[in-house]
Amino acid sequence: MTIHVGSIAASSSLASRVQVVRSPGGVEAFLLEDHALPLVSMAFGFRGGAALDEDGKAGTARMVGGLLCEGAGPYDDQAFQVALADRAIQLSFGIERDRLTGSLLTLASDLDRACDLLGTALREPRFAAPELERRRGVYAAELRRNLNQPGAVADTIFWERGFRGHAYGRPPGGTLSDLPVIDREAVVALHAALVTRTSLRIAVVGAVRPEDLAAALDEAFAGLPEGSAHSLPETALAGVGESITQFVESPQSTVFFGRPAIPMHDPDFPAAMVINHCLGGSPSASRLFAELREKRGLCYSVWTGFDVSEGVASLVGSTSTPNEHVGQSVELIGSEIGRLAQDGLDDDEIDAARRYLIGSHAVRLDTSAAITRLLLAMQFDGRSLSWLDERGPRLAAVTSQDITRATGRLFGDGGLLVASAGGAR
Amino acid sequence: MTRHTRPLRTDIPAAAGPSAVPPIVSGRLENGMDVLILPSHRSPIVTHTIWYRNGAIDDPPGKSGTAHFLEHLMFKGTERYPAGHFSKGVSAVGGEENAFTSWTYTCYFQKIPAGHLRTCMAYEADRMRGLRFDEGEIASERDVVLAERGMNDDSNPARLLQEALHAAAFPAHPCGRPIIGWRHEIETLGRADVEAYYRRFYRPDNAILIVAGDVEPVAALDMAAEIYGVIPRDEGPLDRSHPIDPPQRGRHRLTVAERSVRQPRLRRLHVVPSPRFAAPGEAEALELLAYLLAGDETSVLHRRLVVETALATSVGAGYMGDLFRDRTLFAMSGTPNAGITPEQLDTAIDGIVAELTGTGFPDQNLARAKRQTVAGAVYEQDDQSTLAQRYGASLCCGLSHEDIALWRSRVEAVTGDDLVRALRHLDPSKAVSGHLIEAAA
Repeated sequence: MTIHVGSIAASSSLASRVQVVRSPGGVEAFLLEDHALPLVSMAFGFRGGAALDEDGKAGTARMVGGLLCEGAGPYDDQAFQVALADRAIQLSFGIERDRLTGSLLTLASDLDRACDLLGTALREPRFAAPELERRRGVYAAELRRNLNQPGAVADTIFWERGFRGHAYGRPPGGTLSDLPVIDREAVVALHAALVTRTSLRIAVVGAVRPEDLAAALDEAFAGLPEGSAHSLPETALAGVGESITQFVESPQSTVFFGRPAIPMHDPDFPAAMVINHCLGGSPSASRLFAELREKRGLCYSVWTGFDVSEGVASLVGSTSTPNEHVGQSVELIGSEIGRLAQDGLDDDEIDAARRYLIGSHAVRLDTSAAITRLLLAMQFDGRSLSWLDERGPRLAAVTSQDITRATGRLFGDGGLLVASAGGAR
Repeated sequence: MTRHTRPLRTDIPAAAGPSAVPPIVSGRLENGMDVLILPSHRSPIVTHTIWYRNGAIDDPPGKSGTAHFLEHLMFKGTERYPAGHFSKGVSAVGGEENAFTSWTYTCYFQKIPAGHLRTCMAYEADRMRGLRFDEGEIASERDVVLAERGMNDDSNPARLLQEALHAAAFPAHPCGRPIIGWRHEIETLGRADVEAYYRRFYRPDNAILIVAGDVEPVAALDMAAEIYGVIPRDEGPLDRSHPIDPPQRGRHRLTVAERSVRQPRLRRLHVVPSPRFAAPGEAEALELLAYLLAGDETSVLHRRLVVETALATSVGAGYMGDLFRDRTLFAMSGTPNAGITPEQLDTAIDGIVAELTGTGFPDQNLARAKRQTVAGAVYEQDDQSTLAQRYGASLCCGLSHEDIALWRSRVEAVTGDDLVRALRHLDPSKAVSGHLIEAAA
């Protein structure tokens, strides 16, 4: 029987086990070296994301990501896919408002090959016409499918209103009206602006020594152009106090609600995390869960959380309820927020929330992919490795005075932007 | 208590290294409860899961949704611990918990820092027998389940199509009913229904404990014996007989038309043997076949339907190896391109399947599919919860843990002829096809 001892389980903190690797070509990555399994997991991203889409061409950055695996350098679409599949290399891209993200999973023995293919994809994508048309078809089908999903519709109209006039108001996944006009020229131009060394951040977990990783990093990323930094202007969720609805033929409705939150780097953010946990962050502690689901059976799901992009943080939540209960549910959400804003939290609630938020951080870091995502997010958020050790003590230090102050800052007059979609008239 | 430590070995290529098969420790308590420990010391976390070998197929006739409804009520507190006590205990240490119901099993799980395994065992052992039923809570929770059905199913035409397809594929067997239940039957569920179901199935000889993660296996087994072992053994066997479906004659074509549909969809099912029911190598061939048909962008349906003819924007295929004990499903699906109907896509798949039954697959494609499977075994071990779930679901479907551990090496042995034999299970003349379309206004 083979049992690997040590590794991530070592008593030393995660922060002390992560190192910054700098390749000969000047590419930097956070690395957690771990030889328990013969695999390497990498998360990387390019700052800018969907915010760089041109007005009227929402979805261009997503198209760039989607096409990177569909033909590059000497490989046509099929040859590139075969090259990945022959080594069981998993490479995929995703789009967010403020970044284009990538994820790579490979057996450790194939890391060099994986990074060779990744480098080719990033530097020399073909963006060939047939693949562009095919991607357009995939996204169009998905957008058409979303038209009858109350959850997808409520989400879209919420953010369109909340960030109206800002790049973040455009759906990162594109729109049915913009999709047809995204041409190759727009894709090529956005690729050149987005996929650059300046915008790049990288995190790696797995069975690779730092010197071997350095070489692989150069293979994948050193050949990218330097590029320049993009400006992502600060903003805040707007439309607070407004209520918007869209009819979707459905027996049930989805409601999204939210308001601006305290920024992530603000000293009051840990207190805001405690407040969110008690409002709707976790089923076992959440006031909304207790009031809407447990006491009244109005819904299956109700939650709140922070939605953070560069330059903006919002407190948002959602529930799905039968059409006839939309009014009652929205009223209850408003009154629970009002009660919290007025009376704050009990000491027991604060204590339980602190314990959960401190403990859950480690519990969630149980896979390579989860750790790479965290290490990548830290870099985009401008956090140093010491933050991993500081997070717990900061939460532990949150007092009831902090909660009172942060509650006032978070909820203000208690107003919300509310967006609902479904069959409610 | 019987106990044995059995590290299982299989032939793994050198590239995958020695850790491609997890060390497994298993045992059976004197009250009949099975225990499986899957140690992994990568992070100081433990996943504690308990599986009951019953699910939606065991709902009484006319009472679909009972198993799932009871799963919700399992969080409402016991005689000893009031509602929320268990959940707050898990939450206080940063743990996560949940539960899920399938056709053949019901699972409860917690993921917690390694030092708290004993607490979870104590709570879970308590609610195997001590559940408290309260009429008011039952009525309110029934509304929650109806809202869950409303959110996930009734608002989603693709899910309604899937329900209709299952009912057609299993006309008599209760596999044909939705796990959450039909709305008109959920509405009738009361205390007597859930309590009878609970007393019948929540017993140690019907349960499997699976602990994955940072534990010392023998100590974990001893802890299980101490905590779960004191639950008295039940008398008499469990009755699990279910009706057997008649042989399928002819092809089914269902059309679900809803006004809200803006994107049509095709989903088609074939009733095929489950791993427990299949001839040696047959289930393994069906799994490889799913990958070769639509597992990624090198697959034949993707190349033919998405790239070459542009009939579809995406395709999918899956062999449902851990859903049912006897006969199970092989599913294929596709999203038609603009201007193409689900029926056209369905017919195109008929043609490709017929052609492949004659030609088979190129050797290099089979080798690639196997390579994916072997790497998949390594990737899977990165997530202890995934591993616990794969073992739990497969054990509940009647496989032994030796079967599960040897699955990958059996996949390695699949030949091109095995694939052609597996393709014959996808006989178009016995397909159950579902077409989701927009209803005329």
